[in-house]
Amino acid sequence: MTSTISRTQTGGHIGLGQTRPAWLTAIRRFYRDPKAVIASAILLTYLFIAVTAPVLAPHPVNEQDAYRSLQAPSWEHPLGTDRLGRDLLTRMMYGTRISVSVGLIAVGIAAGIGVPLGLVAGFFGGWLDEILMRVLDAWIAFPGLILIIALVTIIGPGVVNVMIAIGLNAVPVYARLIRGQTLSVKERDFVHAALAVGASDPRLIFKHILPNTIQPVIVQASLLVGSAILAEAGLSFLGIGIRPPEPTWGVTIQEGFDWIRQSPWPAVVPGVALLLFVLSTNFIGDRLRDVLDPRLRGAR
Amino acid sequence: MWRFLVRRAVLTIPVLLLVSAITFFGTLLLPGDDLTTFYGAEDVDVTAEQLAALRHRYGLDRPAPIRYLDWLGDTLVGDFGTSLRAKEPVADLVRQKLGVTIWFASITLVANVGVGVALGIVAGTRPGGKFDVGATFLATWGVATPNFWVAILLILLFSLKLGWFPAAGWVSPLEDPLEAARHMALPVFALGLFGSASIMRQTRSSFVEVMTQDYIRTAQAKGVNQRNVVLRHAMRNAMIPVVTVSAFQVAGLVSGSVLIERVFAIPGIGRLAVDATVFRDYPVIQTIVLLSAVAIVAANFLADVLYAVIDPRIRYE
Repeated sequence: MTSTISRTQTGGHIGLGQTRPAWLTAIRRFYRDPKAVIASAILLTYLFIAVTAPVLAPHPVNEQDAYRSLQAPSWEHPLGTDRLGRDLLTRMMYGTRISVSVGLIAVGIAAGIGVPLGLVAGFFGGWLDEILMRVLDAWIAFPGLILIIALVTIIGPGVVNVMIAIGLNAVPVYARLIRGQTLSVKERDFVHAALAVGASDPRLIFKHILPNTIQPVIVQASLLVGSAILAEAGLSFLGIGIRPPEPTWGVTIQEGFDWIRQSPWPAVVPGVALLLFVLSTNFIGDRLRDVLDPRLRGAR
Repeated sequence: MWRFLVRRAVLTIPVLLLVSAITFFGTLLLPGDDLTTFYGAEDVDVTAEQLAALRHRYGLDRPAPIRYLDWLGDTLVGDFGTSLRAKEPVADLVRQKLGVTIWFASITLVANVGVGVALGIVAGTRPGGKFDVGATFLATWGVATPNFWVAILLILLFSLKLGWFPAAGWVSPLEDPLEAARHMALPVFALGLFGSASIMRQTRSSFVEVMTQDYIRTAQAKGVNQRNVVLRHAMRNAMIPVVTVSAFQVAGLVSGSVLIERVFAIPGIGRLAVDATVFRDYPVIQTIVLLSAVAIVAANFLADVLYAVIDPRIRYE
């Protein structure tokens, strides 16, 4: 009896007193974990560096100095120099620009193609769904990096093509996720109601179903940005992604690796930047999932 | 069980056909065809008429679906075409390298499953304990660390500084097992870090879940010792998701070995793939793409068979 009363009271309290919007509640829940605060701060720093690199960088990005090749950190060069005497801190800052944009745009491409595919397959079902899903099954059978390498062979290297290849590789992740969401959302009462009052298919899809699949899209995006940046670094390290003299982290590691016996700095420093970035996006993705996924609510 | 195996094997056929079709039609997106690529690379003067005649002779003027069937037939009997760069049959090139990568990837997979499952069980049967907190922390870092960078750090510390392990090279385990182990220690660690971290995370969470179930409490209540509860009662039910994650690892191992083979100068498939990409040697790329996809389809098939072994109910569905 007591429990019933207290439950009604709490319920009444929320209904009357708090009109805080749902997204604000979600943000508050999100930042209850100090790790999420740190991870967000780190990512904001990366974004800040990416935007302000041309202003803040201590040296011109391609300035070479043969007398200062492969130096250890100093006041003049806080992270040391590479083989051509270029300032590593400067190159790292410019590299942030490329890596962050590759990550974001690749995920944008994946979502831009995958989400519509998933919506169409899930909403219309039938043979269309069957064909799309079988093709995606086959697509997923190709190991990520091998598929990306094959795509780069076809469309050629370079920043834009690397973004496209990494994005295309991640399309099935989104398509399958959104298809599953669409299948369950389209059977909910409000969709049936909209159908009953005569809403058209596009209206049902864009107005009623799409907004209800957005949360997993966001969670997946934060996890995919990290793996997209790792993929870019890996490709560039192999020498088949973005090419020197572009200062991406992968290129810097590759150039540094050839001279590792002389100086470890150029090979080691970009890895730290990569690790911190991916660690932060993974934390944020996991935390977002905890906060947004209703199934996990109350689990902790 | 046999009926299950046969039915499941038949189901892989359409996937394999689709995979082969994507591989074949994907290369048609390339500008030009075999001949223009070949003569373009050779810088030989050929007239348009000569090209047309050659095209007809090699059947390149036939419709794409026919050529696909032709190609599929050749592939099924192990004829993968000729490398544009080495001018050797692709099958010979691949055969030399495949053994190395298979050794490397399988040893890493076994190590991953062993380490991941063992750590996961210890962490998952005492959630919140010191070991659990430590192992979970390490696993979080393990999945975020780029494997080729770990490989570089390992070389810096264990090869260049301490001199315990060689920094590069490959020795076949059949020729000299001891020397092979010395050469493989660092690459296997670097390639396996991500895999064992994710297997550990999966094993941990499925043990945490299984250990709260009633039948486990019953077993504990009737006095079965903890070791048997974990290894006999909990194990079977906790292993299903672990098998799934381990099968996923095969894709990760194939991708990861490309990078690790580059760092340690291991003469495997990854090395071949990178060289082929640089030279746009697409018959080689095509073959590697196809073979790696087949390996993954096979891994998923094996995982399904393992499910049925672990959980007999699955056989009768």
